[in-house]
Amino acid sequence: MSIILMEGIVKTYQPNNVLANAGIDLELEEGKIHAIVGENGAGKTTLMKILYGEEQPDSGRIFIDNEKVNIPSPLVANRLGLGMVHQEFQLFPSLTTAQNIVLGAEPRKGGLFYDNKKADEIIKDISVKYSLQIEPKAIINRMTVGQKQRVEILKMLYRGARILILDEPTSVLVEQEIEALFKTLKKLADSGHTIVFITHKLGEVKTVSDIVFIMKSGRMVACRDTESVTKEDICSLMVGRRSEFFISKSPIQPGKVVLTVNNLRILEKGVKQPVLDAVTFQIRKGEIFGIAGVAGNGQADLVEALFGLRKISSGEISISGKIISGNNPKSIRACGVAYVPAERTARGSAGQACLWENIVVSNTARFKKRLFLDIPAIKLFCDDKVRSYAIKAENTSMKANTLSGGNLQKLVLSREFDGYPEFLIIEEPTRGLDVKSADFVYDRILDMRESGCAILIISSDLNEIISLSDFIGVMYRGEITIIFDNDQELSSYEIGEYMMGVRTGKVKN
Amino acid sequence: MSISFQTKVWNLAGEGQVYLGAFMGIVLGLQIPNWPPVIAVIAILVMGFIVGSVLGLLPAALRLRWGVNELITSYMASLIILPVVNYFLAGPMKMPGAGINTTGYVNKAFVFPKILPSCDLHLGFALALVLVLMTYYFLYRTATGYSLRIYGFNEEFARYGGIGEAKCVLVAMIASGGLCGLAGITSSLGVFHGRMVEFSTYSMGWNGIAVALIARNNPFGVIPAAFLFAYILTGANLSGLLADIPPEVAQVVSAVIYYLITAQALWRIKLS
Repeated sequence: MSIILMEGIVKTYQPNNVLANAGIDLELEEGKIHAIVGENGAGKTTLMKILYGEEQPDSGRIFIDNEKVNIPSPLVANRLGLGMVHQEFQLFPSLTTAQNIVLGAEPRKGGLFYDNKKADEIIKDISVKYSLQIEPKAIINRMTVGQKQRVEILKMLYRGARILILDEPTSVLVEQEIEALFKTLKKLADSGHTIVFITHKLGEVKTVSDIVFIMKSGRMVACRDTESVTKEDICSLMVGRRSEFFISKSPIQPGKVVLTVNNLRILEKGVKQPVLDAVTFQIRKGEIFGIAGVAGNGQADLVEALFGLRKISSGEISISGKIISGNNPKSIRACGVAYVPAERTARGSAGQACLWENIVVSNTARFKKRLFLDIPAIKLFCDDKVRSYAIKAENTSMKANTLSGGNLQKLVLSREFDGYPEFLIIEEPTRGLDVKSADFVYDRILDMRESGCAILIISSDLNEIISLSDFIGVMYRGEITIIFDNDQELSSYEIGEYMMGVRTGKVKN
Repeated sequence: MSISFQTKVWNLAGEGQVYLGAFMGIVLGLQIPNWPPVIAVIAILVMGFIVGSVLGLLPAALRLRWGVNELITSYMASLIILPVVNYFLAGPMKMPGAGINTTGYVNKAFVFPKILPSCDLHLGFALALVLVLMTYYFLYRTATGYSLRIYGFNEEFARYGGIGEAKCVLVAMIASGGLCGLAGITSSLGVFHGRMVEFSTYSMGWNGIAVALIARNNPFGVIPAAFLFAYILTGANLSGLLADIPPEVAQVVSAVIYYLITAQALWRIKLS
């Protein structure tokens, strides 16, 4: 029996008109466990936030128990019997379990005072009822992540949630905690609760869910009984067919090796799983090397290590034979390395600084007259870049935070591409950009390739990686598990299997 | 203060830097009574700058080496230095026979001449104007000033762009501390006729923070902000003297104004 029905949900995010949900239908059955899978940016979290009233859809309808409802806020969602556990827990770290759970609906003494004793009793009762062991007097910030999550779930149950939404509940848990969580979920489902959870891990889908929904770039592409599909089926539905947009590239003339990464390893204190493990690859002149992978498998750490923003534990990085590992970003830039970061506002620019101040950051030495900066010359240089990259800006003294995402990305590109660096790192080249800006970015990247630059591209958009790269490496849990020669026979399906860790292989290059 | 706040490196040691700058400058002045006045004054000013910047260096080094928050260390450095200076004023450096704790006078030729007779306006004011101009040029025209401002705007961006953190933190603290020290010795040479009196520069460092915040860290804005602040302060004193208003009321009023203005400024620049 269907308990929730979402119909034609559409949601776009301003200011870049990103279509997060493009007319989605979703039906949840009472007492079942539903899994929602999809790549990053497929719109899973947005859809769940809409259901929980945290986001408002542009259009679409929601029914609960066949009655049309409006969910303007999480408060209303609670009243309708919905509960959500976010990736980041929303708990007060210095309060006790009981205080956190009853918050907003506290038991009172004489109608005025908070009743500590009663709260503790209530918590004991419900933790027995749902067999979720929890100590009511324990302070949150002394708990393990798994315990905190249990508190979150109890909080929702206390508020009378019949439908539980969990956003990537296992991403923060260790193996044993995951097992415990699954047991809890199954028990809750048996007692009539409906559960939806978002995940990247296909193994979990198979072990715990009854029904699986597969999303891809804002659309619901499939809804299956979990028993009737294999991991491989889900995988191929998630990544889809080989991209239709094809970028014409000239065949590569392999030049000399520019970047060599040898046995790079990053360990973190107290964590057994290395952040990066035995990463080894090369990029030659005029070659684009793409790295595919689900976010959080070490790609960002690799980039930071390459650019000197993060200390490495062992291994070696060199540019044209010169070792750069251990250097700071300034001297790495001086070796002819440039970097277009994924976080354009947090890392790639200073919003309160004006355009010319943003464009000269890596280039001050060139515009220095003794101690002083030659500001007129910088402005001229900036003007020139604004024109040749068609950046929509009134003048070079306007603040960078008044630019739109696309124009800001162009500004970053114009700075990093200046002077034809030997080696270029590009993260998420077109994330959040409209089609026109994205095309412009692709053209520029290919220009750089023609001119003999060695390029590393990291993107969560697999189509982008396949269209641009000459070679593709897949990162999974801090390792490059395979390197493909990007020829016509390579399917995104195959890459997807490596991304999900369904298959691992020996590195060949 | 403007320099350190624009870099978002928080120098709260201004109070101690002013006090120590004034004291050490005078101590040097007492040792060199026979030097030619111009050279002696320059030496005294340089001394004030150096001791101020040294007191700024300590928190800067602690932040760079161990990541200790300079907000706290600089404040504590300031707290420590005040009683130390007071010890010397009451003890070894005290002018024999004086009724208050003070050093002796330096050579009269070293004292800043007054610009306007019958009030305390002295040559130090002109010096301050020159320093404002220099600070502006430093922050907005030099490569180092540019690095400092970018670091203040966005630390991550500065690091990524190849601006060294160490350089920014050190320069900001040295310049800011040095200028505070200079402010201290200027006041001793001007207002106090070339001696260092206990409590003489009290709360100048704090007022400096308030002024910088009112001016939103713009060096030129510091001038009107300083005047505004001085009017409020002097007005509070005068009304206490003339209008039979107890000094506490005047203090409360000025504190309320001070509080509201800084609270708003802090809210705008978002204390990191």
